[in-house]
Amino acid sequence: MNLLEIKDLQASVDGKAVLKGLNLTIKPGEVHAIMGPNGSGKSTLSKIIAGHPAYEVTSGSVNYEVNFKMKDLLEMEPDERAKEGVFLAFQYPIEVPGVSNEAFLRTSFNAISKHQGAEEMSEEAFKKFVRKKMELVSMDEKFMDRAVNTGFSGGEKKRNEILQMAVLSPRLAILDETDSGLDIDALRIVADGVNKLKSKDNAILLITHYQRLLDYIVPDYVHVLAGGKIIETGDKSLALKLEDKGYDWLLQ
Amino acid sequence: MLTETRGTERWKYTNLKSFLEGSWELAESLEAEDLPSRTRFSQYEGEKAGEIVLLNGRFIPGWSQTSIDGVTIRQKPLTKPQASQAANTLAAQDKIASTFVSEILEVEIAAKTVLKKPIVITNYVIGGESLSVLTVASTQIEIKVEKLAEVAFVEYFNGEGRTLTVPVTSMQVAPGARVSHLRVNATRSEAAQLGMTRITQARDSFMETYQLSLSGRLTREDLEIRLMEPGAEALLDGLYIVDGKRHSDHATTVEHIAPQTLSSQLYKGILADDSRAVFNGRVRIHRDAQQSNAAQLNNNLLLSKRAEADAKPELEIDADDVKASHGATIGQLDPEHIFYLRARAIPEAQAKAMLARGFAQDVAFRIRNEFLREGAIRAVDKALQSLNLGQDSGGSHA
Repeated sequence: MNLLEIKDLQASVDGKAVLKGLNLTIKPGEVHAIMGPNGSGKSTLSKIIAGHPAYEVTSGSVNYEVNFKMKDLLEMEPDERAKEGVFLAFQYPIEVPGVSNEAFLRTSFNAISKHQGAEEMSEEAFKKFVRKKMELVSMDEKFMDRAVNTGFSGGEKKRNEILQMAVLSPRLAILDETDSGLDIDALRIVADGVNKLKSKDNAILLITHYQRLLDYIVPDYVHVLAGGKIIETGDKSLALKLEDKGYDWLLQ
Repeated sequence: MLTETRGTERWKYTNLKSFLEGSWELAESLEAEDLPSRTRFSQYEGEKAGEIVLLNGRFIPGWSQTSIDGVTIRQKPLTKPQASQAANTLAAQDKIASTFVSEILEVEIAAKTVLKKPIVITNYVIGGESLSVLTVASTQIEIKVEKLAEVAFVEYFNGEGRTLTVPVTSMQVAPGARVSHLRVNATRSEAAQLGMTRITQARDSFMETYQLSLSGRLTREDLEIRLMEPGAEALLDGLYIVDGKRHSDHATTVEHIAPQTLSSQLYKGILADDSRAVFNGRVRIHRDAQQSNAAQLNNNLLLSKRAEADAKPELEIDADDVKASHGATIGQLDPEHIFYLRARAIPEAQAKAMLARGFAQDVAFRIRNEFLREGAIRAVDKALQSLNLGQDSGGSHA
């Protein structure tokens, strides 16, 4: 059964058409990478899947498997989607002053647990649980008491996104340019974290500019998004070809 | 009595007349046998070194706990404002106080006394049954903190009915003394409060003062700090939360009189429904106050399109070698913040509440005295619980 089915998706932002008939199907256990030139609609796609209200879907459908049934994802509120296992690692993680990372993560975790019919975790138990997950992304415990992303470096913010992913264990994780702006050490940490979270039950959608990330997280499929459509799909060798030749040969 | 406030710059946005209509009567003096049960009033929730309880403007020894080492408390008769004091230095609060107050409460902290837990001054006012009558209670408190003492105070205001509370507090901080001061206006009723706090600081003294207006029908708080000698440092922060048709007005004045003095202020406001809030922050750096440093910031969070915030920073600098900055913002909850929380499974209403709490508690988190900080966080959380984060939120998405 498919986890995500996107059919003929058309969407606009501020009245401007960005996606012009996008098709994509993802099964559990798969890793997909979407590459493409700037302005091709990569981030728009990730925001639409997560439910950002500024993006308007004008046509097409996005269906997502919930309890062995395909449900219309576009009908669900962003927080409902998150409860059903949709996770977006933001390209630019938001700074939220005054809200501690710990309180934020615990509130989020408990909202999902509650939805799944599990007990809420106590503060103490949650701290222990998070500590283990922090090791996964080499994050210091002191980050838990700091305000969400506030004053974090670019790399720390990205690691914080992957920490959230580790804590929330989503079924569909979309990583929107998580590799951008990372040095090679940080990239390795982030990629290792993602690889450890990979399983046969969840799927990962990587959105990236750079083939480099795909040396560390190996995709099953590589798609090229240009002009609001997926114009080419291949395996990991496609990424290498793009690295070598650019996009021009596809755009002609 | 209030006519002199009209048309003046410092009272530009607050028309007292509309709030204080009707006949005024002095809050009645309650004798021991008439005292209501104290449990009907909310109290400051936090650890304390001792407590001074005032009811309807009068000291109630039976409810107070004043035997604290190094602390002397006495009542003395009020002397009317001296003729030598120019009439224009008297604020509306002074004029009301001099009419309605009969005694002054003096609190003296002996040199080198160290009290980390606060002395709590609790001020209750009970209004009459009729809403057409305004029950007035005024208090005048003079605090002296002697050399090298370290002490904390909480002034906590609450009550019931249609009341006007006019607390006038002055504080003299001697060389090297360190004071933490928290004022909590926890009244959520028809109450009005016109407060006045005057602080004078000597050499190398440190003062942190926090105003939490959480809030009554009308709140006007004036705070004047005079940094008289080099090395004096004042942190003055505030938070006002207004909803319904409530109105708050905070007017601060910092006078940098001596060189190497420092002041820093952050006032934040949360405005819901049809409320209105004013912040007027004046900083004056006098000619001799070289190498002084003054920072001021006012941030307002509007939770409703009908709420209105006015920010009016004023900076007057007569010295040439100083650092001074000021700024003001008026905005709504950031839709990107809300979306980020929702993308992490947090429902919209809860996301907004978390963000508003973060915005508000920012002020409480700055308090250095840990006892005051805990008390402030608790008081702010309590006030936020009853706040309407509402459907008519200006923070809705574009």
